Amino acid sequence: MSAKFSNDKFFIFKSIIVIAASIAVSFIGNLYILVGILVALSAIYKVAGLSFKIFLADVRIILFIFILSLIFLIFFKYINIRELIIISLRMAALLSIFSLFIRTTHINNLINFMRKFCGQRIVFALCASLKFLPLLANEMKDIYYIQKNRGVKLRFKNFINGSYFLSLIIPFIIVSLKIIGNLILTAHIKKLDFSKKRSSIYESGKLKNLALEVKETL
Amino acid sequence: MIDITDLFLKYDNRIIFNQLNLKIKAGEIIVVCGQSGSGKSSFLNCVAGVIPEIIKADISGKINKSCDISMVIQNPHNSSFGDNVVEELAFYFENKGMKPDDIFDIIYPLAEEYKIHKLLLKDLNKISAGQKQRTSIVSCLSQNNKIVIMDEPFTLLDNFGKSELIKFIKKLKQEGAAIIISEHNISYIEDLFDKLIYFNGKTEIYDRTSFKTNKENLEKKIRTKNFSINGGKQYSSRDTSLNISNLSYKINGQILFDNVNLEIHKSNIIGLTGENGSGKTTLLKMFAGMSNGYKGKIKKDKKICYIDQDPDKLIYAETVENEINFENKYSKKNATDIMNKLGIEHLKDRNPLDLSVGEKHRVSLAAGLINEPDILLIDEPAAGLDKENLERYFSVIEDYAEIRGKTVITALTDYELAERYCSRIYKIENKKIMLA
Repeated sequence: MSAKFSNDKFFIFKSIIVIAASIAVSFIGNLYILVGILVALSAIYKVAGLSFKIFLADVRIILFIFILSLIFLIFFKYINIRELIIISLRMAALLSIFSLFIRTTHINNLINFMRKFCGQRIVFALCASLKFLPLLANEMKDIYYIQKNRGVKLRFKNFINGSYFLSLIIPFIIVSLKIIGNLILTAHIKKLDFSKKRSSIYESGKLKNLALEVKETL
Repeated sequence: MIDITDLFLKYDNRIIFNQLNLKIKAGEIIVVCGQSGSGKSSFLNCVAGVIPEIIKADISGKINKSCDISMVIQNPHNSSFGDNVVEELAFYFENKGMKPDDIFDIIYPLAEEYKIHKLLLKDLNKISAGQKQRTSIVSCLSQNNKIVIMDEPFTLLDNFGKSELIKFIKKLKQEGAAIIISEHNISYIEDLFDKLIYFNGKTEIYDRTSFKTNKENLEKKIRTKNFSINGGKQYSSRDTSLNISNLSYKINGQILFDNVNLEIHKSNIIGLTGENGSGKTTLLKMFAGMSNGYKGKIKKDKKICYIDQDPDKLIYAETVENEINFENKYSKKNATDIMNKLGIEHLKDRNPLDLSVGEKHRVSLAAGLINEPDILLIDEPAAGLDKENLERYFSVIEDYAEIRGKTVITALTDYELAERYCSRIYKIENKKIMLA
């Protein structure tokens, strides 16, 4: 939360750091340095008020890709295991850098920043897609359990059978379209396309006081 | 304030309304009713300018508005750009470039009045659907526009939320705002509205006098104050279907349930009621195995089915028949029987995605029932259902509990519905579950 009480200059500074760090990570080939970077990133998560659990959730997908690649590796002997670990760690570091950026960025900063360079449509598309992914992730969990509860056998081996796959993917697409529709509607009725420079509620002294009170109560 | 002339709307070769003429003056309340999928939301979207600006459709005629519009959209889920409640409430004013302290001065008193001020810094994904609805209403009202449109605003609200909303509507009316509300259940605003529009293939417009004259006829189709309370059927089974002992659950560091004990018997329709955010959906999800991390024991029958508020999360087959009898797993006779009971037999060859919300709800119930779960969990079944569909829906549930001897547990914010259809009502209050 505290990370959201930030201004435009800080946002630009943060964006430059993210771009520079991402480029640097992409070229690092040393396993130990990459592990060190990931440890440092998990510490930054903590400083930003995000738990270690969130950090693990953010890089979870890399573990999945790693296992799949490992299976691929065992069968086809395509790349060596050290190379695979380095690629996975690099991807995990990149993912957590971007995740950290999104999680600590107030949408206002992003809109104001983007408005300087892009048209309204691009600003809207970017904001909607940033909101869309976390919303969809929540819904996906529900869809999985709802299908499982009604009797669809969602076992890994059954995914080869098309209909089991469809039972997840079709509600997923429909719910995605609904989310996009709702976001477009909200953007329209809440005047996202208003031409003036946006303000930010996080610059309100009164809200800062309230946030402090809440923190003290907790 | 709003002048609608010869409005015509056509979607997918279906005429929604034709030659609709309506004048809405300052201080008038218009209620829009009709069967699920009859065009209520489309009408609101036309007035708000969403059709044709955002949603493309075949539209003609004129809508003249004298000022800006505020709107509460039908689905409070997944419609916010903010991460937390304060961001959501401030979003409109931030877009207008208003000073941050001025924004706070507008939103905080309203949030306090509507009892969401303690939620201001809470993540929107971690508050209940009813609390989201309250946020959406406060956001709309804070904009202080003189035309207010609300699409089913009462559906997810608890009694406090409903009574506060009625107060707000009265205040807006006194201040000279034009208000358009779409609702299946008009009992809350029956004494307040000036005109009622009923969509059902054709458009019928009633003023107070013609409403009174036609009330008896309209009550067959719309829920009014005379929605009689019969009380749910009482069953006598003593077999336990679900037993909770010493259940405690914390969410975001706050205790939601504290040492709860409960025994539910078979052949019952259980209504779970309580304030917005009391934990009705969370409890259902715990029973369904969708929410873990609780302390204590939940001993339950094996086969459980959870039916969500949003039927789109379940639908995936090409036809209604395949959706219900997916993978031809069950006997065709069973599928036909269930479809007949729910009045969707004639839709069996239709694509379920093309159906109205009410029809989708019935398909989703049928898909749940065919598996014959021992415990059927339904989250807010009334959301989006008109009176006719609601009665049909609950009569099937009643049969399922009575004839098949199964247990149905449903989360309901609408206490009137719980009184009418449930054999037992439990209220979630002060972190406990007690018999209401």
